[in-house]
Amino acid sequence: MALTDFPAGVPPTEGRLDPAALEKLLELVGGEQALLAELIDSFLQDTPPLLVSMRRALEQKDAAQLGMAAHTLKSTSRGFGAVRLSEWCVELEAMGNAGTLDGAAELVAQLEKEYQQVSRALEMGRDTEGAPHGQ
Amino acid sequence: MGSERGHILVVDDHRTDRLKLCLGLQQQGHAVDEAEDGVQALQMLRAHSYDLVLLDIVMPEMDGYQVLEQMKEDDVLRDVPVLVISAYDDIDRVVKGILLGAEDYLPKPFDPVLLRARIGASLEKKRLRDQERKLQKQLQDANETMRRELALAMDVQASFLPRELPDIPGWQLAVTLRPARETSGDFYDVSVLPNGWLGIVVADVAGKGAAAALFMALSWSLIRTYAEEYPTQPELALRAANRRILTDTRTNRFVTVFYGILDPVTGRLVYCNAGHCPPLLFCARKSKGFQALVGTGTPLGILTEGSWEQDAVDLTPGDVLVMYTDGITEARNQEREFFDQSRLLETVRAHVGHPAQEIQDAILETVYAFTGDLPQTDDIALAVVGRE
Repeated sequence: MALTDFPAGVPPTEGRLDPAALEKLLELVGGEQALLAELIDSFLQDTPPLLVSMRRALEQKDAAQLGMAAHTLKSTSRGFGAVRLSEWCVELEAMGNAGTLDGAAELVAQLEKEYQQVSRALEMGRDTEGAPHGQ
Repeated sequence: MGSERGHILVVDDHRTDRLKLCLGLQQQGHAVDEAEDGVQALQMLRAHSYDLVLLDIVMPEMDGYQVLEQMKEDDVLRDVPVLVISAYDDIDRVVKGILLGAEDYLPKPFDPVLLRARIGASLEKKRLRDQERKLQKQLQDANETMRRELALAMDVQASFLPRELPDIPGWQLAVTLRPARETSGDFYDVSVLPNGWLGIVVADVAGKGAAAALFMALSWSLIRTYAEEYPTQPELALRAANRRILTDTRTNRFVTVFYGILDPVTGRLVYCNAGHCPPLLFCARKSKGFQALVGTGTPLGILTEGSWEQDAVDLTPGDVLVMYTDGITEARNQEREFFDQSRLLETVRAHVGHPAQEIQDAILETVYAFTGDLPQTDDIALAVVGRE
């Protein structure tokens, strides 16, 4: 039940999730697929509010709020192997720290789109890998 | 590595990160509680006992730095180790956390090997620190018990000393005992014998501390008992005491004793000096010349059939007799020089004609001025007898 192949067979997300990161996550929870599924659920629930917070920060021109949300999502998403998502969060956090929003709107839009792909990959992985345990 | 199990508090405002840590730590066998922010963390820290805190830095309301600062200001919480949680690229925040007292850090995303290693090391350190503290406390308690017992021993020993000195018209007496530690191996005794004569003892048990104090108690008791039995013959009193010391103990200790019996009417002092520092008799008539009452036998506790010659001197009006232990003559100054008999002579000479108490005070002041800030290394017993 290794997760190395977790994203395989999901062509639209290929390359979006780093299998090594997911493997580490699985190792962290003692190899329990059910616990990994629980973590994925948590990520899928917690991330949309962060994206909303980013969108709101753009509207309110609040660079600090944008940076804060990006900071949180940066590490969390990397933990699930969403490397591209994490890299864009690094850029957004830097903008937040610098107090500038130049180019932030485009980056947030890209990030939202990327999240759609990431979340679909994670959902599929969770359903195919977590289900046999009946959790 | 990683064998320690602990009660850990995870503080992170982001639910998924919290969950990752909680699940990971539970898998490793730890008991885990979680707090969503700094305020809740402090409440939980004050309500429960934790072995370790995993603390996120960037949190709304109260951030991790503020939690650390408040923990370090709290007498109980300051010792709970903290690992700060930081983003993988956020070394500046880690450094600030360490400067505020965090023990180490844990980068996000969490690596299972690193998590196990850092948690294990922190808990092990905490366990050793707790153990050290417990041992320190035990040591302090043991020291305190010993200190109390020594204080009791000191009280008992002090109770041997005469409560009041006999008031003999035409004579002045001043005596003191200054132990180097809680208890003393030196002692003095002044008692009015059944025939109305005055028995004066100044003695020094070899060694210091509790063992010497016990031997002192035995010697004091025997000498006093036999002094009353032989009120005119110090030689017989010492011989009897010596025999009892040697037959009743097996300690290889000995005691040097000056024991004199003074007839206050005639001023005649009959004495034995059992290996003790020679008392100094200052004669007023001989323009402050002095006589040393040197040894007339060995210390008590050495030879079963020991004997002591008896000698006698006459104290005339204005004369002063100074009896002391080697805590005075062997007191050392910063240059490691001894106070010596010469300084004692000089001090007494400068005060002959003064009351006995003043002479005694002058001797002690001069000794303490000589040794300065150095701690007293030996017991001091001092007795001054002056004929008016």
